[in-house]
Amino acid sequence: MSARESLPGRWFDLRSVPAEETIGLGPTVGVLAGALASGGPVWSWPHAGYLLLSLLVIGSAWGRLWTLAYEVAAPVRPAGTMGTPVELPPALPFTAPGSPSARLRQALGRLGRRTQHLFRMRGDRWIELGGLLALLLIVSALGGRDALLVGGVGVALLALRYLARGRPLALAALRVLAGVTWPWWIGHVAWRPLTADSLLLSMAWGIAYAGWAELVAERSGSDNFGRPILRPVTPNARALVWGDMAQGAVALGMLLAGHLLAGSAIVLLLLGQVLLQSTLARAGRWSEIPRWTWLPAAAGIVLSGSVLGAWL
Amino acid sequence: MLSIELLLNLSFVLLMSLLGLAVPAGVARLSGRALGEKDSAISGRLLLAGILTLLISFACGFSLQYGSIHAPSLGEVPRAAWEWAPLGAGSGLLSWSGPLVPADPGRLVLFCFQAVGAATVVVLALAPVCGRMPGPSFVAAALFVGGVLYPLLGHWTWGGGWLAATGTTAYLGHGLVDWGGAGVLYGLGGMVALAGLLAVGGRRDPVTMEQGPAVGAALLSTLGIAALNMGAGWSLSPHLPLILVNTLLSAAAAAVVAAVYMAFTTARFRIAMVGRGLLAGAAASAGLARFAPPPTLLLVGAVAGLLACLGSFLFERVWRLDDRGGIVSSFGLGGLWGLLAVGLVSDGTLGQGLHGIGPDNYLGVASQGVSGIALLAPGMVPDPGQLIAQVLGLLVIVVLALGPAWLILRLGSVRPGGRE
Repeated sequence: MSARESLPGRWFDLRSVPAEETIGLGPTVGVLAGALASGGPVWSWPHAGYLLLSLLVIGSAWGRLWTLAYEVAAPVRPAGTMGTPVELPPALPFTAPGSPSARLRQALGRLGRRTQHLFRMRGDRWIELGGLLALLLIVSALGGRDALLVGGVGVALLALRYLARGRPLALAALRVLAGVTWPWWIGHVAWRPLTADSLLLSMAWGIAYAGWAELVAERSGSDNFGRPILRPVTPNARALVWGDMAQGAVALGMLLAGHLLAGSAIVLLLLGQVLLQSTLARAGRWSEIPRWTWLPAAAGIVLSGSVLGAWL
Repeated sequence: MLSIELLLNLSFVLLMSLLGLAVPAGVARLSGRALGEKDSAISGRLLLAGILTLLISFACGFSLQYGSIHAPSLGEVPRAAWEWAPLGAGSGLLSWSGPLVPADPGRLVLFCFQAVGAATVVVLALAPVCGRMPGPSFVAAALFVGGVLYPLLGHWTWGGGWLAATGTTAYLGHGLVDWGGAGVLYGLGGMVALAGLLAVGGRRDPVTMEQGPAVGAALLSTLGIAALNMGAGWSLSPHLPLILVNTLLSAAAAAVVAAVYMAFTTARFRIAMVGRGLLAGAAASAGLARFAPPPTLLLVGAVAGLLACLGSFLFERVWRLDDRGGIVSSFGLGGLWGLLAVGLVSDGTLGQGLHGIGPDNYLGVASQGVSGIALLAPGMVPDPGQLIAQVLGLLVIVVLALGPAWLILRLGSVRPGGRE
């Protein structure tokens, strides 16, 4: 069902929207990895329930919020383009065709329709934005004061996303924080305070995520509204390099920290990605790189979090 | 030997009574014009109704209405009178004062004034159904309205009756206040006209806006209303200019609003509706011409003009009632609105001590008079009780009209299509 279609009989419509195509599970994976990295009792009740709630709500709501933070300022199509007839207000008594009253009625009908349309479009977006923000903050608050604080950081990120419209570099930088890093934080602080090694790991995986996200955006060739990106679609090898370097740093850190098994596993996962990247790049199938390399990377994220939380 | 002041008062009220005859005359004229070829026949029947009202007023109406009071400003002296006042002294339901005597000129002048009011109500009430009822029924209806209905309401409001006394008996402001008869004359007449239309029936196709009162007849009635408003105090007073200005301003504002409204909705200047607006504004002013400043009357008149238009649409286009003279929408709605407006926008600086309420101090304010709840003069306190009293009076009028009056008219009517 299209997001713009009406939902007769429904008062509440919850939609799960991936943050980005293919790698849309980034926030979900981030929350899970963060929770594991905290070393908290995530598998015992009621913590498991909270973890499940966090995965569902933050994983789905965060992606939609990230999109809405941009959409809410987008222009609305003018009235008359929707193909719906103009609804006229009730006529004053004695109103005759062609009279000033009849003309005013027509004008008010058009104005009302336009205002209604504008309000509905904008209103829908703002209501959805407000509702999801409230949901996000409620779930954060359930995780404690620190989690609520991190939830506030998320709201600030959304505000920055809104302010960074039209600035590709700023958006890319924000993706570092929004894709995996911030969900990692909120997953972590729900059980334990954020530690330096957890912070570094989350940042490294955030950089890797931003590289994939950049490729996805270029592959689709359009923005969130289906409007074409005007700049030419060229493969961004630099984004891949940044992602690989970040994963390499994670592996190195693991090895240096004495987690030889986990570090080796991440190195192997990285090597597999690099091989896939080179093969697909030589074949000119750049657009398939994120899809194939995301899964081993996601495994690396969860693995590193598990190691940090002493689960492995 | 009568004093100069008394002579002036007598002459003034007598003159206003004579000028007040312009109201029924104008209504008869405009009703006749509205019905086209039946002009003279309709006017003649209404003239007959007016004459009958004069007789029934002499026979019983005047005694019923003013039996228990006397008018010192007209030189009346207290006399023996019977009054049935189960709610307490000064709160009568019925009164009787016996026959008129030649030696009491003040009483005779008061009779003239009362009879003109009765004729006004009867002509208003019967104009829409004139020619559509059998002769005997028409005569009976005229006698009932002029000899019983109007005198009863007049007694309750102006003759020391229970509605005027609600200020003392129920602490409702100054009791029902209706200076020139917005409710008692025009509201009652219009509502009985509505009852008549409902009782007689005779739905018809929507009237074209070319039909309706001639502006000349409407002007004549407006001047008559102004005369009755000025004469309502039964004496010469410094407030007469205010009353006249208020009446004319209200009528003018209503006419302008009606004209603008019709031009706005139909793209044409509808002279018939201008006449209705004029009458509605004048009728509305009768309620509070003595108790509010001119700007307030402009507002009251503007609302009355709008009501005349909307009422015309409701009664003639929606309900399809055959009220070609616009009596119900102009006099009826305008009058009831004027009655209600007393409790809404009286400014509180006038009418101190009316009906014996607060001659020196009212609601804790020295010299506060009849007060509404909005547009009060600085320092005056809103008086919701006055509004309640006005609403009560309005309800009584509607019940009288749609109850006993409708029953009488219904019993005496021939339906449908009884027009000659």
